Amino acid sequence: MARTRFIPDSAGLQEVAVSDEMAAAMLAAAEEGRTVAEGFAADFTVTGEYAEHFNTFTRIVPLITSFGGHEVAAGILANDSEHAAAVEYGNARDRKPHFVLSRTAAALHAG
Amino acid sequence: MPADLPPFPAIELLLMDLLDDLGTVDTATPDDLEQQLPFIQVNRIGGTDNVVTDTTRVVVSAYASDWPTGNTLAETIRQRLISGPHVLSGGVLDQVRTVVSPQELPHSIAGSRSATKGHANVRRFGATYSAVTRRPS
Repeated sequence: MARTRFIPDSAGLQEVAVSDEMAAAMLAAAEEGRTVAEGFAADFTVTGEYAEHFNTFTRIVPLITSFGGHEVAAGILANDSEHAAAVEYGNARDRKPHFVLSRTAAALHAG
Repeated sequence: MPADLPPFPAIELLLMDLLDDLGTVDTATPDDLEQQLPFIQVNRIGGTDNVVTDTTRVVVSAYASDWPTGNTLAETIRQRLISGPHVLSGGVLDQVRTVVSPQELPHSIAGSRSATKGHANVRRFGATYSAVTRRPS
């Protein structure tokens, strides 16, 4: 019986990983995260300033795997409000952290 | 209609029990944080379950008066957590895996003129873990 052998095309896989199509898929995932994060933010927001400062974008980032180092397209969800760090981690004034982006990542991971 | 299953243990309560000898443990920092160091903050941020086990995602923050103490405390916590399984009075902590390893996180309020108000003398190290729990047997 003939045997089939799989030989990965590393250059081809790399091309797929940074392609426009992959970037679009990653941006869609980040947008899904934005919807989740805005839902979390709605629980505590007073002025709405924090919730208005989510943004999504794509970037090519390095990724080290057991197969070696690669570059991949990533979708990024960020919040650039001046008090984003205080919302995420809490501080001396707001002692209960909201972990909005952390909880969003956990929610996306859980599916 | 089948009877409801018993609740899963609250991961925060299990961690308060497990880390009790390392410092004061709670879900929020107190007003007088600088007087209660070392302080450990535990917060569940998500997770899922398969009916039998509850796979939680938790953030554990270690507060101390200086960087070396905070870094050591955070690493001690990590080794305690991943050295399971831990059988506790409130339930079983089957397995803990590090998702994001300990690193210094912001805590002081930038520009605060009051050292106490801004907790200027506090360093904070946070880490994220995946912790799998079971109901007590």
